[in-house]
Amino acid sequence: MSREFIPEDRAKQQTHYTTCYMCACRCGVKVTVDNGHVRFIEGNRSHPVNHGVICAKGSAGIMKQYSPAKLSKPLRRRSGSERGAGDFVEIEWDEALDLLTARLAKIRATNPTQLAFFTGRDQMQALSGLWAQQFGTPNWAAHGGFCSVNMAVAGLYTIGYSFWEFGAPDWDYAKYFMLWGVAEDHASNPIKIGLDKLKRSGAKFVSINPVRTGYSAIADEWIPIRPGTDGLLALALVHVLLKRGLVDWEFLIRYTNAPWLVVQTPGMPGDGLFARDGDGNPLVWDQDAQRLVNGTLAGIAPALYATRDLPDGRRAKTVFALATERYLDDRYAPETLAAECGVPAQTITRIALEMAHVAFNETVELLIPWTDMLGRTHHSVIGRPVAMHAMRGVSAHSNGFQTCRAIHLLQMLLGALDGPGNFRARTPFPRRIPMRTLPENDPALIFAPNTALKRMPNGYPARPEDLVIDADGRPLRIDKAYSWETPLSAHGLMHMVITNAVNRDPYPIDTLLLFMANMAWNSSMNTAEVRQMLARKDEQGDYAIPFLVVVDAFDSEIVKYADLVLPDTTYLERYDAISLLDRPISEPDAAADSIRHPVIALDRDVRPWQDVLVELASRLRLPAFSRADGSRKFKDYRDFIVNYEKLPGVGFLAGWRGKDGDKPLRGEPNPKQWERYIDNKGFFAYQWPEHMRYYRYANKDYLEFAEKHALRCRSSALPGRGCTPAGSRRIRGTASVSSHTSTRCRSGIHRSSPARPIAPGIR
Amino acid sequence: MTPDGSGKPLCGVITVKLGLVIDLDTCVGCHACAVACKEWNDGSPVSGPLSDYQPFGAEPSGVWFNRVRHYEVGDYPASKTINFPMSCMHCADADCVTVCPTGASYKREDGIVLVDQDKCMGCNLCAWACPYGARELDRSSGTMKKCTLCVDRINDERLPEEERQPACVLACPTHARFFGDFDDPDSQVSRLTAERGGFGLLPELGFAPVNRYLPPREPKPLTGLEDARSLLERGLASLASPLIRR
Repeated sequence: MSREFIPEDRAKQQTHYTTCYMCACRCGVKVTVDNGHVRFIEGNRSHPVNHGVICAKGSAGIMKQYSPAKLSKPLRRRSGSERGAGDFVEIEWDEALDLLTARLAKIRATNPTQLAFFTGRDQMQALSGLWAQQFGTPNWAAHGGFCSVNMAVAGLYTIGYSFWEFGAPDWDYAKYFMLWGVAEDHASNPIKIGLDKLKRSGAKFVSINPVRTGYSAIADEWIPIRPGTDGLLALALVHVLLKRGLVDWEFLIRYTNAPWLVVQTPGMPGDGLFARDGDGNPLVWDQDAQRLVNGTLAGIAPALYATRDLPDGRRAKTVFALATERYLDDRYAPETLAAECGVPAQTITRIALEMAHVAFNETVELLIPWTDMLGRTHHSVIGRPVAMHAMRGVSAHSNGFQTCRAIHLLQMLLGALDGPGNFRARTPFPRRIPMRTLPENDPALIFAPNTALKRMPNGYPARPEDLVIDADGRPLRIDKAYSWETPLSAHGLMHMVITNAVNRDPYPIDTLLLFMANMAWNSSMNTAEVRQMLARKDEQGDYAIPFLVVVDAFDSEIVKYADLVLPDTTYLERYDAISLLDRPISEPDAAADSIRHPVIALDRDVRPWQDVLVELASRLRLPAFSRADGSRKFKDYRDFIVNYEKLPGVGFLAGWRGKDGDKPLRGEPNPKQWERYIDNKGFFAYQWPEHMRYYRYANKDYLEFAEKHALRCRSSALPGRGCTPAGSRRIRGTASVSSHTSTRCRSGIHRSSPARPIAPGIR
Repeated sequence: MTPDGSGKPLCGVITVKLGLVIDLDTCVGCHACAVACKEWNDGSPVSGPLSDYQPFGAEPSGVWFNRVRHYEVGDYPASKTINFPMSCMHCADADCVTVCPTGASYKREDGIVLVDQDKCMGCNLCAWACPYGARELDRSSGTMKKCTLCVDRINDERLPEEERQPACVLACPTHARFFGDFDDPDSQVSRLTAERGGFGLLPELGFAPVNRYLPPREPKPLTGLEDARSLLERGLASLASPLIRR
C-alpha cells in the first residue's frame, strides 16, 4: 500500500538560529523559513538555556508573527479626538521622529525629569537605561517592580543573587528540591528540563503552592499552603532547625555575617548597625583570644552567640544571637503557625528534618580542588544538596520581600548556597552585598538641563545618603523609587508611574514614553483606573499627562490612549543583544549571552525600537552616542552593539571580542561580532572551569577572573560610597543573615569543611 | 501479521510498529507537544493545514492532533493533577480504518494510521469508531484529521538524523515523550515500557493500541531518615557557641 504525499521542498527552506521572545526565558530557537514565510520554530539543540526543547508559546511564535494586531505605520492621535478612542492619523517616520525629537529636546533643555521613560518586559534594559541616563532623567525603569522586585531585592541584599534570572537550582546534584509559589512560569523550559532530571535521579520534589497545577502536578509532595503565608512556613522551618541545632555552623561562621556584633541601643542612633573597629571592620568576639577582633580575619574563632560591651560602652549582640532569639520564640513554632499556614505542624517538622537529613547526611563531595578567597586550597567541593526556587507566588505578595529573605535564611542555615545541589548563581551574579551600583541622587545633576546623569537611574541604596530624595526628604523620581516610602526598590516601581504623574506627586511630568508596556492591561495595580487616568484632564482641559508616546509592535489597550505611536518590529525581524550588562542568560556553569537577528524581511513601515533609540540619541546629541563635534557616533543599533564600550574592552556582547574575535568576555570591538554570533547559532557561552563553578561568593579564582573581565565591580569602583572596604583585601562577599542593613561593605569568608556524616554541631 | 477488522492481512508482514511512549511521571501538562504538533503539521503536506477558526478572535478553536487532558484524582489534600496527552494510538487493529467507507483511512506497514485527504469525505464514521477521541473533522477542508506521527519528519533523510522524530517528542521540555518501534525489543520505547510498566489505554476494547503510558514513579523514600531523625533529635538545642575557626 503506497499512498504518498508530495513532500515539502526542503531546498527552498532556510533555517536560522535566533532567540525566542515569547516569554522572558530567552531560549534558543531554530526557525525554518519557507519562501519568506515562517514555517516552523523549534528549540536550538546546542543552546545553554533550553537544550533543544521548546514550550507551547515558543512554537506559537508563528501566530504572533502573523497576528493581525501588528502595527504597521507611525500613528498620531487625530487632532480633536479623545484619548482612548483610537482615532489616529498615519504619519511618516520623518514626521514622527521630528515631532518627538523637538519635544524631547525641549524637555532636556529645561527639566529632564519631565520625561518618564518606562519599559515593559524589555530585554534591552542596558540600552534603554543608558539612554535615560544620557538623556538625564532619573525616571526610568522596567516591568520588574510589579513582578519580581520583592524577590530580587531580598536576594541581592541577602545572598548577592536571587531567584529567577540571577540563579538556578542545581538539577544535576540536588537531592531535595523545594519549589515555592511557582505554577508554570519563570523559568519555563529550564525548570521543566530540571524537574525531569530530578525525577530520574530520585530526588524529592516538594511543591509549596495553594493549587496543584503545572509543575506541582508531578511533585512528590504537595504542600497546599494558604496564600501569602510562605514566609511563616519558612520561618517555622527555621524554628525547627534552630531548636534542634541542625545548622551548618561552619558555613555561618565562615561565609556569613552571623557572628558579627550588632549595636543594641534601642531608640538611639546606631541601634541595629554593625559594631566596627576604627578601620570600619566588623567586630566579632574571638573565643580564642577572648576579645573583640576584626571579623574578617582568618584563623579566629568567632562566637555565634555573644553579647558584649563595646569599648565605647555600647552593648552589642551577634547577628545569630538576635536571629535565634527571634525565631526560637513560640511565635514561630510549627504548632503556632500550622493554622495560619494551613499546614499541619507535624508536616512542617518533618519537612525541616528531611531537609536537614539531606543537607547533612547525604552530602555531595566533588573532588574538585579550589582556592578560597584567603588563598587556601581545598581538595574537594562539598555540597549540601538541598535546592530551592521561588517566583511570583511569593514575590507578588506584599510580604514577598520578607518571605524571600526567610527562604534565603533557611538556605544559609543549611549551608546550601552555590554548592553542588544548591540554588546556584548565574554570572554576573553573585554581586557584592550590597551591590555597588547606586542610583543617581544628586538633585543638581538630575534637574540640570542638557546634562547626562553620572550614575544609572536604578541601583541599590544601602544608606540613607544613597536615597533618591531632595534635601527635604521628598522623592526625586516620579515612581518614588529609593525614597523613604520604598528605599530598596531595585528595579524601580513602574506600576506607580501613571498614578503619581496624574496626581502630580511628587511632581507633574510632560511626556510619558512607554515601550512594550501595556499599562492599561497589566504592569499596574488597577488597570481600569489606569485607563481613566490616562484620559484625565485638568481644569484647563489639558490631559494630566500631556504627551503619551507608546512604542510597540502590536496594537493594545494602551495604544488607544497614545498621542504618538511608534511601531516596532517583531523579534524575528530585528537585531537584539541579550547582554551580560543586562539580564543575562548565563547558566550556573557558563557565562552566556545571545542575539537576535532578522530571519524574515519586513513587510510594513515599522522600525526596530533599538534603531529608533540610537537615532533619537544621535539627534539629541546625547554624549555617549555623539562625537565631540556633535555628529553621530553610531550608524544604527547594529553598529552601536559592535562599537560601544562601557569600559575599555567591555561591550554589550561578550563573545568573540578583539579585532580578530579571539578574546572572550573582554577585548576591543570586533567588526565581525554579529557574524560570529550568527555562525555559532546565536549565542556565546563561556564555560567555567570546574574550580570556578562553586561557592563563587568566596572563590578566589572566580572572583579575580570576574573582576578582571568586569563581570563584577572592583573594590575601587565605588561610586559615591564612603565605604571602601577596610584593609587591603580586594575580594569580598558574604551572605547576610542579619536583618539589619549594613552601612558598610561586608567581607567574605572561606570554606574548608570536609564531608561530614552527621549534622554539624553534633560532635 | 496484523489483521485488519475484516480479518484479511494488510500488506505483507509487519515488522515495524511505530508509536509513542508518554511518561505521566513527568508530564506537567504544558501543551508544548500539542502546539509544536499543530505548528509542524499545519504546514505539512500529509494532512495539513490544521485549520483554525477565529485564531485571533475572542473564542479561538481549531483542529488538533494532540490534546492534553487534565484530571484531578483523589481527595484534598491527597489530591493530584494528572496531565494526560492524547493523540492517535495507532491501533494494531484500528477500527477507524475498518469503518471508513471510502478507503481514505489506512494503516501503513510501519503501523502508522493515516487519512488520505483526497479520498476522505468527512463523514465522521472513523471519529465515532475511535474510542480515544483522536480524530477531528476539519470544518474548513471537510476532511478528517489525525496524528501522522510526523511521517514527513521521521522518514525525511534531508533532515538531520536527530530531528527525524515527531515534533511533539522533540519539543517536550520534560522529555516525557518517546518515539520508536515497539516491535524492536531493544528500542527505547520497548525498554521503557518493560521497565516502567507502560500500559495501553482501554485494552479491553480490543483495538490493540500501540502507544504506551508510563505510570508515575513511586517516590523514593528518604533513606535513613528515621535513624537520622532519632539521632538528630538528640542533638543540641543549647545556645553554646561551637568553636569553629574561620
